[in-house]
Amino acid sequence: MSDDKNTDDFSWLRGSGDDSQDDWPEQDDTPPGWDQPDDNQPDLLGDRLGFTGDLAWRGGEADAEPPAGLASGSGLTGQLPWMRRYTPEDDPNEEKPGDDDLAWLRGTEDDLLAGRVEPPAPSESEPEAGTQVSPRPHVSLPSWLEDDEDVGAAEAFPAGAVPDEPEVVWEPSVAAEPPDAGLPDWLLDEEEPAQAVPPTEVPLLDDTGALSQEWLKTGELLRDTVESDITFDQWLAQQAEAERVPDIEEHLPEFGLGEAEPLALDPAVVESGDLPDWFLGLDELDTSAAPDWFTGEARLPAEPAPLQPPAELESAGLDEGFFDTGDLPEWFAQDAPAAAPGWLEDLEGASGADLPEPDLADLGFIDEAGTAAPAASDDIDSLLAGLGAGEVILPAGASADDDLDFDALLDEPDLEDFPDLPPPDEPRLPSEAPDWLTEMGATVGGVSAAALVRQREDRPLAELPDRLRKLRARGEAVLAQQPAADPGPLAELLPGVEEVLPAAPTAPAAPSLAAGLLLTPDQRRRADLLRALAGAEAAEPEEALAPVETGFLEDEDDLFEAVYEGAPAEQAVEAPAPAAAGRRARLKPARLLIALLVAAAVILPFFVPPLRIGELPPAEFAAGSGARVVFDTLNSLRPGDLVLVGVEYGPTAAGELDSLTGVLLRHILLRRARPVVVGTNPVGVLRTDGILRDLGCADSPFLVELGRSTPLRPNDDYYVVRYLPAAVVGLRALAQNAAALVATDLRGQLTGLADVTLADFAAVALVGERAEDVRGWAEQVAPLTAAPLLVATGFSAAPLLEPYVGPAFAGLLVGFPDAVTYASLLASPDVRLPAPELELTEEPEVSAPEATEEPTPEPIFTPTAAPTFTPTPALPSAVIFSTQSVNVRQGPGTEFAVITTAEPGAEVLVLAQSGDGLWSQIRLASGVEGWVSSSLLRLRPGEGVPATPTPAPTDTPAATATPPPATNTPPPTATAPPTDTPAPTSTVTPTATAPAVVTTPPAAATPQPPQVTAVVVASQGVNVRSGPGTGFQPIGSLPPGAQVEVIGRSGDAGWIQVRLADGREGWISAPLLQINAPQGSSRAPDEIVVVMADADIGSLLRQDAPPPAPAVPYAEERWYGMNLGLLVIVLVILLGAVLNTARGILRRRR
Amino acid sequence: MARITRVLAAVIAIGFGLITLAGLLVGEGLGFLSAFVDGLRVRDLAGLFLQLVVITAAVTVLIGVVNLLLVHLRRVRQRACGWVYSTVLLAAAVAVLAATVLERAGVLTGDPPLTRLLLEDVQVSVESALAGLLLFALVYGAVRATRSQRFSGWALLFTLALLIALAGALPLPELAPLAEARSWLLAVPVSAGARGILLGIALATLVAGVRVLIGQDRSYRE
Repeated sequence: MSDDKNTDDFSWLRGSGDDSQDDWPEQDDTPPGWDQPDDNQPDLLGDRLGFTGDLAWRGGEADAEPPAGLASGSGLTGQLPWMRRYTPEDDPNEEKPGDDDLAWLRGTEDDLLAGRVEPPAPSESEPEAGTQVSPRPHVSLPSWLEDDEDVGAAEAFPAGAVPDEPEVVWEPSVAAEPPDAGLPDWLLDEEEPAQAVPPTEVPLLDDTGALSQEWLKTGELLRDTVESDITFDQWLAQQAEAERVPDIEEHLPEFGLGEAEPLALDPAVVESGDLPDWFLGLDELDTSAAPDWFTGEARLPAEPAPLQPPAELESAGLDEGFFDTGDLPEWFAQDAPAAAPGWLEDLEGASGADLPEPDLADLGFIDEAGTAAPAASDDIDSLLAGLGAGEVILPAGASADDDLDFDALLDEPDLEDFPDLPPPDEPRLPSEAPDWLTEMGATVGGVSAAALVRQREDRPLAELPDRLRKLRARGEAVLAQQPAADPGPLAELLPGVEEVLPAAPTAPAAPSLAAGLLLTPDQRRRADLLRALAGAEAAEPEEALAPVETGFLEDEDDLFEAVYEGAPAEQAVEAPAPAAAGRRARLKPARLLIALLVAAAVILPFFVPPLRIGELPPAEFAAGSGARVVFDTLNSLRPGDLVLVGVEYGPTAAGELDSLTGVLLRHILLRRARPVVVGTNPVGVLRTDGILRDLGCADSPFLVELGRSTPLRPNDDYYVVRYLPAAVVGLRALAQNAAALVATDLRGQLTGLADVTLADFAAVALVGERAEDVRGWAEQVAPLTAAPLLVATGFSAAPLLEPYVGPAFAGLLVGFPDAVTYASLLASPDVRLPAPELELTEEPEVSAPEATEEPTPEPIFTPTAAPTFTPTPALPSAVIFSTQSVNVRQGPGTEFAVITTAEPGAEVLVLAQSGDGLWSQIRLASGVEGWVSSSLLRLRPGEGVPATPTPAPTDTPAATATPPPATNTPPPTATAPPTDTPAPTSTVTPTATAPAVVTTPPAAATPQPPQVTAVVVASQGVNVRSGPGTGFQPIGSLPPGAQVEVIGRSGDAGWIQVRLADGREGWISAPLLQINAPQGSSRAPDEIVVVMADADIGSLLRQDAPPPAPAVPYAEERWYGMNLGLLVIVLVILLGAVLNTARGILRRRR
Repeated sequence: MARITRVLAAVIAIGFGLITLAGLLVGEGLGFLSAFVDGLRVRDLAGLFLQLVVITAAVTVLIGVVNLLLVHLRRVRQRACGWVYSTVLLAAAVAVLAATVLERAGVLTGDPPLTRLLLEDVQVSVESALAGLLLFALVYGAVRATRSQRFSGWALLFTLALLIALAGALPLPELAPLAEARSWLLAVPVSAGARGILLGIALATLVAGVRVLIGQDRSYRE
């Protein structure tokens, strides 16, 4: 702002005088006066608002007079109506126009320039805000901008071309300087010589309301009309900077400028964004006469934080009249000026080669060291150029001369061009883009350029996990090894066609879901790669293309060959070799060896006596033990007692539990009790029925023990009731209502136990395989009966049943050893109940035998050819006991014809009984006589069955009955009893029967049984034991040579029963004795028979009578086999444990 | 209809279960409640229900046998996998059934009876032999059990207990200490463990019964 001139060079900028600031002022055609040379103007450099063209200080042109109409003077003194449109009302966010509305022209109000350029001091020429200023006179072009040959500015800008500046009136916030204040003289009209106007407060607006020229000349910042932190100019500068695109010139070096002298400005002096000197060509200008604003000497109110441009960069500020179109220099006009301005002529010949090479380090914004600090500068260009100093990194290979190709930079960032960047191997997360690129804020398709750079950068290899790294390496190796896919002949003819055309259907070698997929060669390669990576056997491409030979694809196969000539011929897909049917399992020596060892250990003791190791089970149970309780409990049974026997095992446990079942049943039967067999296992019930039938069959040796001649009768001697369904519920039902469940037997026959309750059972014996079954009995049956529950089980269930012993079980038998011991106890004499007293009739032909204190043995009745029958005075009566009618036959046998039938419950008289006791002769109420099965009869209590006559009775001489010997001794010969019991005895059934007439012995006296003696042949004394075994306690001893009476032997003939002199009986080992020949009379020519008192129990021990079957067959052999097998098993397991442990230790050490 | 059936099934099961439980609980020692109980005849009712259960279970077994035969018959007709074994099974079932019927009818009068021969000499023999083969499998399994990748104290304890239990059963005078150890082993830790197992079983059974009574467990319906 020139303070010399009062001319309003910016009249064209003024508005039309309308107070409204929304109207654009009508531009004044008057060229600005700043473009007129004014030699009188002082040489002012600095931050004046533009230049008016009056650059008198340039010299040579000083005489050039500005064209008429052009205001000379310092430049902009007029209003800036275009600035009036920014009013607080229009934009609330808008800052109030400051005092210096033209600050942006000087660059002083820019935020970036804040602190670098001091706002221009208010010039007297600048009108105060709001002060109406008068329109400035029209300014003509300066002479230096005119060419003599060219059309004068007056012609270019005729007077009136530029409309007069409208007058705008506003009230400046501060006193504005006079319009001409501050304007250089050369910018003012010559007619109005610049007058030194003392710096006074100039109103912003003139009287018309327009921006005061005087104020503009002062260069004062336009102050805001409202209170704000920043001025309007500052705000505009902020907006402009935020939206502007950096110009290239900001990055271009300043050529030919050298190091400019720093402006000696007052801090209050505004350092406007002056154009660079090179641009203005001011390096050779004589700025002595330049106006203040041009030289930067104008004083402006101090503003906070002005920007400091680089010191070396200087540029002329833009004066007020810069934009005065009336005074626009030709070069500024759109049309090419007729004549180039003179100042440009200085640069016309200049070329880049003439200009000194710029020093990048001097630019400030290029920081090679990264720490260069921008030098202070008071012009905008240097200020802008110094932006981001120290942060911008340019490629090392790039030079300032090179045009930066930002597109190329965004496309392929070459990391090698950034030597300062850390190497790729180093972890650098996240990958960084250059900061300058970030700060540029450039976007590509909406995406930040920096982000693109980051995204395009590959992840460093070191960041990959090991698995992916190996996979990547493997993939690369596979790709390298993979042969190039044979393009085929078609590709030779038509290169690239395979990529377009789909490949032939591929038929993989193995049928799969992907059969028939159409794959391109590239897809095939990728598929092969995947297979190779996955470890699958990748089929060769040729094989993959081999079609499957099927009828459906025949045509395609031919087509395949025709099209792809040279392709592999049809390859028959070989079906996979069928797996050998019944692949033979590999024999494992270890298993075979173990099996052979165990089998040998179990079998050999049966045949090899030396392998019989271990002691036999004890002959007796320990006192107070559970087994002993079982024995004692059953041994206390009375004849006729009912014993509930539960059978809860199947064939799998038969080997272990059959022996226990047998001994229990034997004991019960020996006690004359009646077992009632039930069970929830139907197979077990059937098997028990079979066991009982075997025991009680006619040929059974057990009958001898029982002293019976007749077999055991079901539903009489024993009851096999039923199979109980529903397991535990069935047991509960039995416990609550036993009568209903025991009324019929296994075959549907009546058992006669219709009134029996659980309380009627004297004992409950259970043989169970599983603990659950036994527990069911203990929980459901035992609590509802007072009878003791006796359990026999195997080794597997015994541990789980131990807790029940005592509270629920009275006794417990476990496994085979207890069965053997139990069997040995059964041989004791006190087990068997004595036979009932024989009711011998006083018949002459029958004489009672000499009774002894011992129970009589069971004689065997042998009917004679002509037996006689002597009926008793009272015939016994019986009842037909059957559920259906009974056949009455002519004779004692089913081969006899049926005479009639007897109804169930009919009372009959029993006339006689057959010799075997199976048939009975009866007399019906109708008087019909016949034979019926004895099992279908029930005698009345106290009744006895008469002797059995023969079908053809004949008169025979009186038969004498030879009573059986009273002793229970065997015949004179040492005929050992069938069982290894010490005292084979026989019992007599309670039912007395009439003595039977037997054969007539010869007239000779009753033959005496021959006495068998033995002599001790041992070298030393021998023990006489209580039983046949070393486990029995010795009861005495005999010296060598002692003679004893032999009364029996054990089953295996290893022990001899002898009678000592004192009458005691004991057992001696057979090898220690020498049995003498029987003494006494020889055998009678006739058969020695004994008249039995009870036909039912008649059983005479004979010399050749078979020994009774042992309670436990092959007990000893089995026991020895078990022992040896168990020993071998223990050794095998121990050896295996040692070997495996050693192997584990060695493996660990390895 | 299906919903009604499900509800009805639950009502029947729960009702009968509660009545049976009440009848089982009612005993002769309930004191003053016996009067009410006798009057209600709950105990008899419970007994009746138990009898019905027994009959129902027997019929169920029969139905199961018939169903099994039908399944195998279908397999034979369809020549499905293993139809040969099904044929053998059907033939055996028919043969045993026929033999039993004929024996009961008196047609077959052999001694011993044919059914018994089949039971004793065929079924029992075969099943016993198979059970005997289990011995070898158990022995080999015990040997393999000691083969472990990691030798731990538990494996050692197991092996030691196994050897004591087996060796202690040998009737050898030299192994008398092992016999005593085995006796202690069975009497103390095994018995204690068995008691614990039994307690668990009892509690589980109780819970299962309660679940059925409250209708939470309806396994009796589809």
